[in-house]
Amino acid sequence: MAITQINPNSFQASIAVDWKNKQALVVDDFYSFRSNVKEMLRSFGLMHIDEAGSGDDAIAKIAQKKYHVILCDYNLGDGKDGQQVLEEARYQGYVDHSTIYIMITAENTINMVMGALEYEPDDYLIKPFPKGVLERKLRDWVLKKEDLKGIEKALKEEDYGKVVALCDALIDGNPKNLAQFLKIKGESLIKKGDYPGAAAFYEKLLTMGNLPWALLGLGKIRFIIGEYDGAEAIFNNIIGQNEKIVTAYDWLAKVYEKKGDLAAAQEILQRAVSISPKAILRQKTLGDIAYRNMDLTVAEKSLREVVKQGKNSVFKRPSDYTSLAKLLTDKDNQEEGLKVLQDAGREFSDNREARLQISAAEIVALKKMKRGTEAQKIMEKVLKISSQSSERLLTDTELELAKALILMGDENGGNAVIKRLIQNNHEDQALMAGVQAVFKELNMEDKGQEMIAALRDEVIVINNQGVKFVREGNLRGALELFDKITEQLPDNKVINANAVHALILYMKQRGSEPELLKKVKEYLERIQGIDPSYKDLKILANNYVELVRGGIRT
Amino acid sequence: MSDNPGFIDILASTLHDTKNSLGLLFNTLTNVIERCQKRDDSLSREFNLLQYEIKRLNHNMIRLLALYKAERSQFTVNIDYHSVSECIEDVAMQSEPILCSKGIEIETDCSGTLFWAFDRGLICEILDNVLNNASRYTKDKVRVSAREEDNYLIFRVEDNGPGYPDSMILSSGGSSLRKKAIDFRTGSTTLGLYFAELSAEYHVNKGRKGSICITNGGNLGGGIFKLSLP
Repeated sequence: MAITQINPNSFQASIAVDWKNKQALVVDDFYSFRSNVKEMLRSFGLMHIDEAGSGDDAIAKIAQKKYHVILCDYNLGDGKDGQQVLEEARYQGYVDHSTIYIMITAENTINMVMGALEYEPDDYLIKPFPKGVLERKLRDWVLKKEDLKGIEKALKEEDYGKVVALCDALIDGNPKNLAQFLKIKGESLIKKGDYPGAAAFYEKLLTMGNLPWALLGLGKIRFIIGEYDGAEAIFNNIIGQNEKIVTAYDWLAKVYEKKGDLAAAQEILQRAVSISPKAILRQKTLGDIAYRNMDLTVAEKSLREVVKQGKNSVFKRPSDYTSLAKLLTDKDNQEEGLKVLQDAGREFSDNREARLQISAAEIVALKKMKRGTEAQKIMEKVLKISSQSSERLLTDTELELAKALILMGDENGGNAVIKRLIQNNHEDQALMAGVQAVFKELNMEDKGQEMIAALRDEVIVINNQGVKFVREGNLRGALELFDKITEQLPDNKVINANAVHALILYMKQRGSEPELLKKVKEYLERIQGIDPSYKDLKILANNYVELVRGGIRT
Repeated sequence: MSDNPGFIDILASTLHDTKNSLGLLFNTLTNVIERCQKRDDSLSREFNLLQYEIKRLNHNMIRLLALYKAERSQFTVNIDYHSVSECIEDVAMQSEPILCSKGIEIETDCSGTLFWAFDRGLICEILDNVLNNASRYTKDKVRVSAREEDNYLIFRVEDNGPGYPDSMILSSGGSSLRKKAIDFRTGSTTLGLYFAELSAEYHVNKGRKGSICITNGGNLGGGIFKLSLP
C-alpha cells in the first residue's frame, strides 16, 4: 500500500488540464458576480469565456456554441431560472452529458433547487466560493467527462450493448468516479431490455453496500415487468431510509396508479411536491391525478403552479392551460377559465396545434356559459386554421376539435373525426379512455361505448386475419390482405408495421423486389410520421436496410 | 395545537442561519488569504487561527443541526459508492493549510482500488473535525488511513501528541458516548464525538452498524480515532 507524503501544492500539480482550449459560459444576472467568476476562470488559464445576463441570453448562446463548462446561477431575476435553462438546453439537445453544468445557488435556496425530476446539473456550488474550490471541482469534472466521451456517443446512438461494454472496461480500471459508470451500466441494461441481467447487477451491488440508486433500479425493473407489490416494497424501503429521495415518490405514485389506487398516488405526490415544489412535470402529474380523484382543490393548486412554472419552461404545453380552464369551468368559475384560455392564446400565438387546442377549449367554455355566438365565431376561426395546413395533428387535439364540432351541432362531422381516430389508433388505451370521457361529457356515454367497441373489433378482426396468414406461412395471402387494409387505414401504425413485417418475411424467402421495397419504405415513413418512437420501428427499419443492402433477387 | 413554532424550532432555524453566515465568512476569509499570500506572509498565522476557529464554530453548528434532526427523526444519510482514497485526500487537502502553518506533517495511506458505500459528506465532516482537533493537540505529525478489515471499512486518524485523556477513551462495543455526561468543568461537550458516533450508527448494512473507537498508542504513539463502517 502506497504512502503519499503530502506537501504544499502537490494536488494542484498532480493532474494538468488543458484549460486553454475549453469554452466556458458564465450565467448570472449580476455583472459584478460574472466578472468575479470570469476572473477566477482566467486565473486557471481559461481563455474562451462568454457571459450571459439572463436565461434567454444563456439559451441563445448555448444554442450556437458547444461549451465545455457552464456555470449558471439558479436565480436569474425575471424570466428563466437556472434549472429552466438546464432543462431547455438538455431537452433541445444543445447540451449533452459531456458538458459540465454547475448550478450556483445561495445556501437558503439549495433545498428548493435540488430534487428536479428529470434534469439534474452535474454539481452545485454554494455562493460565495473560494477560487480553490471552483478549480478543484472543475478539474474533477473535466477528468470525469473525459472518460465519458465514448459512452456519450454510444448513448446517443442508443447502442446500449456498447455502452455496457464500455462501462465494463472502465469499471475494471477502478476510476475515481466508479459509481457513475455503475449507474450508467445499470440504466443501460434496463434500456436494452435485459431485465434479468440488470436485476442481477443491482443485486450484486447491494451486497456491497446499501445504495439507494441500486434499490431504485431494482424497483424500476419490478415495475416494468409488472411486479407492482415488489416495486412498492422497494420504493417504500428507499423512502424509509432517506425521505428526501423524491424520485422514489414519483415511482411509487406510478405503482399506485397501475394498481388503481389513485388516492394513494395523489397522497405520495403531494408529499413529494412539499419536499421539492419546483418540478413542473411532477406538478402536472399531481394535477392530473387529483383531477381524476375529483379533489378539485389540490388539482387547482397544482395546475396553477404548472401554468406559473411553465411560463419560462420548455415543458410549457397548451394542455396546462386547457386543463386548468376545464377545472375552473367545472368549479363554476367560467370567467376565470376563459381568461386562462385567452392567456394561453397569447403564450402560444405562433403555434398552430396549440391554437386549435385552446380554441376548442374556448368553444366548450363559451357553450357552457351560453355564449353561442362567440363560440360560433371561434369555430369559424378553428375551421380556417385547420384548413390552412395538412400537417398531422396530435390525436388529443383532434379529439377536442371533434368535441367542439359536436357541441356546435355538427354531430356528423365530429363523429367522423372520432371514427377515424378509433380506427387508426385501436390499440391506444389512453385515447380510447379519452374518447369515452368526451362522449360522457356530451351525455352520449352508451353511444360512445358502442362506437368504440364496434370499430375496434372491426380493425382487430381484420388485422388478426393478416397476422394469422403470416403465421401459417401464407405470405402471399397476407400481402394481399394488408394491401387492402393499409389503403383503408393509412394512419394506423400497427397495421402499417404488420404490413412491413409481412413484406420483409416474404422478401427474405423469395428475394427482394423493387416494387415491394418501395411499399416497405412508404409504410415505414408513415409510421415515422405517426409515431417516431413506435417500439418496432427501429427493428423494422434495420431489416429494410439489410434487404436493400442485400441487393435485389439474390 | 398552536401553529406557533416552538423555541427549539426557532433555535434550529437560527443555527441554520448562523451556519450559513459562518460558511460565508470562511469562504470570504479563504479568498482574502489567497490574495494576501501574494503580498505579505506576516499575517498568515493570525489568519490561520481565524480559519481554525471559524471552522470549529461551523462544525459545532452542523453537529447541533444534525442532532436536532436526529431528535425529530429527520436525520438521513446519503449513501453512494465512493473512492475511499479520494475522500481521504480531499479531507487532507482541506486541512493542509492550517496544519502546514503549524509545521505539522500530514500523511495519507489508502489503496486507490478501495471503494465503499457511505455518506461522503458526513464522513468527510467527521474526519475534517478530527483533523482540526489534531492540529491543536499533535506534536508534528498526523496520519489518515483507511483499509478494509473483516468486511468493515476502517478509517484511522493517528497523531504523535500526548493522546486522548482517559475520560475520553472509548472502546468499540463499550459504553455509548450518549450516556457520558457533559463535562462543564473542562468545557468539553464531546459533541464532536457524539456526532461522529451518531453518524456512524446511521450507516447500516445488512443488520450491521457503524461505530467509533478512541484509543491511544498505534504507529505514532499519540491519539487514535477509529471509525468503522459496515
